[in-house]
Amino acid sequence: MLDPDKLTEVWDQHADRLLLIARSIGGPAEDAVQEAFIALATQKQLPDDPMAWLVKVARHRLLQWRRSRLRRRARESSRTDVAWFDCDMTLVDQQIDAKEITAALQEIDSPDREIIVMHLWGGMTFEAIAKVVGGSRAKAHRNFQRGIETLQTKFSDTPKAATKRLVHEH
Amino acid sequence: MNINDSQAFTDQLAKMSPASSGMDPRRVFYEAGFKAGGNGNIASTNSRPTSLVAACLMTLALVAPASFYAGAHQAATSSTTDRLVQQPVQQPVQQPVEQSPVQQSPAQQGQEKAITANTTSPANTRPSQLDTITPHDAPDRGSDLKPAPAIPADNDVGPVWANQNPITRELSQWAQTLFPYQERNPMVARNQNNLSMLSIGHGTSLSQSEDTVSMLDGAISANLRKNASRRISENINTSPQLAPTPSALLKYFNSLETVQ
Repeated sequence: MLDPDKLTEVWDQHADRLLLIARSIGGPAEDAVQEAFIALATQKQLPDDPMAWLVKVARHRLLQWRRSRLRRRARESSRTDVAWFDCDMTLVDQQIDAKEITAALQEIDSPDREIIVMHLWGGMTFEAIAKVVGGSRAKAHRNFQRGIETLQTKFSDTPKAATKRLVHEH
Repeated sequence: MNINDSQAFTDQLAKMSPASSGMDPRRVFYEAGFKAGGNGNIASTNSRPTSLVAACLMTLALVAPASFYAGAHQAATSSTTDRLVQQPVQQPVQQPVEQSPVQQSPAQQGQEKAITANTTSPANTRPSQLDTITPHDAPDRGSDLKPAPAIPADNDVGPVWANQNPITRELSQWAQTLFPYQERNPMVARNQNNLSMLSIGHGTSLSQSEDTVSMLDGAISANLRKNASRRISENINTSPQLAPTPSALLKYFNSLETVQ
């Protein structure tokens, strides 16, 4: 059983980021985060890279649930409405809205979406990402670049007036 | 920001902070206590599938008359031994409310009797030795039935704790020592605590327990409304029946399992 102090520290550091990654994978993200931390709590020692370890467990659980369809679709669809980011005023001033980013990310295909989230907000290296999703480090990097380009295209296409309107509504 | 600059775009994105999970770590780790409790608990979970428990509760909520709820509430608030001794004595007091033949058609009477016969004992859902115990052969206090294990004074979780084996109880207490903080609303804290313990008791995730409880809550409300309208339409003068909360019902079921 892991030391409670260590577990508390890991929770404080990684819970929010893990939930974001779980949401990007799709499915009952909160349940997956819970399962991952429960699994971590039963470990004797803290893994070398706790974040990668947690992501691997959470992703495995989500894929397992998706395959066995143990979780209802209604729950999955309701979770997609949740904002993935805190609203950042600096970004609002620069005409990028947190909700827009969330929506744009959701439109990107998997695993590019997951890799973007893991790298940008999960703080994971491409090597660690490759271990989680499979494939090589180079492939993970290529997927990341492709996803970013897709994302960039989406915002480049957004007319300025429409973006401003979204910002004011928010 | 220049959106066409890929690096600048990526940097700006990276500055966005993930939304707070809003998850209560104590709730998360209550379940850790259960899951880490050993294979014995897992086996018992498998023998009690969630769907079966939910179906049981739904059936009771929809079919059982209000007198059953009163009995269940009473059972939930009294110890198992007390219930064994007192129930046969109290049963006639509750029966006239539902069995009074005031202006009922023969078909209605038959239906009422059938329902009441099924619910003369709160233990009717689990045929066991309890059903055959009479006031004469009811065991004395402290004879055969062992009292439930001691429940920590600072935990208002009822018999669910008693159902857990020592290692699970210990782990759950360990989980409770994590992330100590004060809830703003004690009622919310209590409800969350009940749900957490339900999850532990039935081996389900928190969200599944929440679903079950809200489903049950709706079913009970609907049944109470139906009973009330029936009383009004048939002009039956009864005192208000006390309806238990879903958590009280589930505590009651847990107390049955303690006896087994």
